[in-house]
Amino acid sequence: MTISKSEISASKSISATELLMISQEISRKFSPVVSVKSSGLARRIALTPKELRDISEEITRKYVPTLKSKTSNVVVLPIDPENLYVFWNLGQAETTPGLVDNTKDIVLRIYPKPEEFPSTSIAEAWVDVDLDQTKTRQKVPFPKGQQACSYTAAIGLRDEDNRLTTLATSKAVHTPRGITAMHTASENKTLSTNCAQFSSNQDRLQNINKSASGQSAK
Amino acid sequence: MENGFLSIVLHAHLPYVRHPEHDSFFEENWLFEAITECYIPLIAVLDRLHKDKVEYRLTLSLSPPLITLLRDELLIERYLTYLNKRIELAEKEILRTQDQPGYQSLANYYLLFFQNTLDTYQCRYQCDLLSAFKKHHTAGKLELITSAATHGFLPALSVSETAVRNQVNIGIETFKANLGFAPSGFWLPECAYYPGLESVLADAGIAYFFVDTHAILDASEPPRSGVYAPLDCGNGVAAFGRDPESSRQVWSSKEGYPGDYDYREYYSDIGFDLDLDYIAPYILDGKTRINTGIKYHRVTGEGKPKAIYQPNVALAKAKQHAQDFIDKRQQQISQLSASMDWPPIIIAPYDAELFGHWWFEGPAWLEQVLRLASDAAYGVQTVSCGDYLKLQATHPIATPSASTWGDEGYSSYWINEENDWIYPYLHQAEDEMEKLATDLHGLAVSPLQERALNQAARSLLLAQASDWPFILKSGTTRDYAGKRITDHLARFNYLHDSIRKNNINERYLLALETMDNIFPDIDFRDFNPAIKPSE
Repeated sequence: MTISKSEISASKSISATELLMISQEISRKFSPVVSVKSSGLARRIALTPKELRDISEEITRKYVPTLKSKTSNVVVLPIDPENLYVFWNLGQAETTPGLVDNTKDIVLRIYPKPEEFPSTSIAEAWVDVDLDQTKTRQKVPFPKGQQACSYTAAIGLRDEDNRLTTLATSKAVHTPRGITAMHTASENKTLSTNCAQFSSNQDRLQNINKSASGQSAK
Repeated sequence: MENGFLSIVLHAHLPYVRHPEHDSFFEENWLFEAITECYIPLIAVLDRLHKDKVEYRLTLSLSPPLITLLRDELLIERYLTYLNKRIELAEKEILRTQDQPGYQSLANYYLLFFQNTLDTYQCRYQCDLLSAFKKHHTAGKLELITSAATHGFLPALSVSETAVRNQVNIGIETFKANLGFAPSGFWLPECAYYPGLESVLADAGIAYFFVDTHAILDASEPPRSGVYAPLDCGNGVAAFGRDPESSRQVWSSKEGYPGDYDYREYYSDIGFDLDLDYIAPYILDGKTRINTGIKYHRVTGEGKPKAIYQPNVALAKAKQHAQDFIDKRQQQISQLSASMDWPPIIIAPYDAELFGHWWFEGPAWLEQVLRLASDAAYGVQTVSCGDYLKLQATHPIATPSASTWGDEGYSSYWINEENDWIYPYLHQAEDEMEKLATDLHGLAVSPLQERALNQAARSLLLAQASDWPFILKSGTTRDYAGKRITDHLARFNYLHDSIRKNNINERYLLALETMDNIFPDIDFRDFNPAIKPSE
């Protein structure tokens, strides 16, 4: 295909800035967009951004998350080989007169389940951890000296004779063994802290915080 | 003859950040920066390797939220606007730096970089990066796998097996709907494993997953081959452990490549360095400084004024580091082979966004590593874990230890005093969703009720993302993370209340469907604990 001289000279009369603006405008307005399977949800965007925002804000304002369980419950999550996190809710026990006796301690009773003897009765051994009654969650240490890899726990009221009035029990949880990691944990920490060094200016870390993986170096 | 295997695994993930309720939204830049600096450069690497007929295998995990964001029409449109603004800024920089040849040369470099990015995105792949990745999968070079639906931190959700099953299954379904096939591998969010999780993965048809080093070394039976052979979890699902040496070489600031003085300095960005009046059109609301992607300096070294970045020098250094990486893998494989009955496999998993975004030269390094490994003389053959399992059918049986790849190696980064408040709400919402699905089992629901129930399930899943507790702990954008959790839980509460009272406002429902349009094929019935999704 031949191009006439006049066409070439016409293009030369447009400045670089003008070319750029034209190019950008065309890109913005006429960019091909891949045709993908419609979600079926976005097909009826009949609401303006402001309407969406207003609805979102209203829902957030009126439906603030609240904990509303009427029954007692306890959830235990292992954190590392030495600690677990306990979340509890006394439910109606807290508000029913006489049910929670202030003279009794609220404790978490942890029942180790030794790996070698999984059928061992949970009543044979336990460790009590006092819970802070002003809280509903707490980090607590695993019982020392136990050769267990899984635990169950119960929350309840302990009397003077060490008897527990159980309010709720947890599912069994597995603890990390920590044989290797226990002695490399400090190294991990050092290295992962140092990892931020080539990202030395942390206060600028406001764009992608997708290093959000939290990956640590070993 | 190959002496051993190297499996490089990149995990690509971003939280679901999409805000049609705003004309523009800062956090959407996370996606735009990752596309520009990581995903498109990575595709360019794969294209060059393909063109040069290099024999390699690489594994890429694409998280379901990222898959959804990459296919979202609103974000595609906004990304094109973002990229054109970057081109405009680079043009301005060429004029501004006309008396500073070193800087002007870099401004030209960035203009070309952004123009090439636009060309690749728009012309070569029609704004569909998933098709680019799939092309290389089809070519037999790239193994694509996926992760949990919203990248939920599964140990904290394991209070409910249904919650974990839905994270796993909905993640896989999202992958299949967009890529057209089922993945054989699964990336556990944050490499977070707990004993029993392998059952859920087996039910979902998954053949393998990844864990950190100590999960293997502290397994129920001591592994004879350390992390250089997978464990069979007892149900045929294989666990592959991260190799600490290859991890250290990339991640450690002392020994890691990205901290090299010749590499580009991430934190030297004209969004922060130039006069506010000049840079205002390219930052947040014209006031708040943000990264623009135009960075003129190299790491340089501590206590020294930042020197100007030299791309050619940095590229040469990346090649040098690639050679070093392959040499060390070769040595490692030689040593391991002497004591193992079968060829060792070295697992080198990284966050994909490290490559190009944080470590600008990362894609060049990766390309050179794959080129070198294709030379049989090194005795380092790249494989995917799926390939390896086909070569080695039997493996030692043991249960890995509970672990993550985060700081300290366990769950403390995702469950601590900064973010522990979220879990009772998440557990309660999960419980309520399951009760809804159970109560409605076998009952007919109207189309409007079905939509509300499915939207409630979306809100729940979005609240479960591991990104929010991570950000609350790291402190980077705490307000945003806190608001996201609160918003999703509030949306769930609203829908739950509307469904229970049979008082669904279609306009409000449409608003929520428009804002949170992930998982179009979700089915609330999968939240009934009595019914496994496959039934």
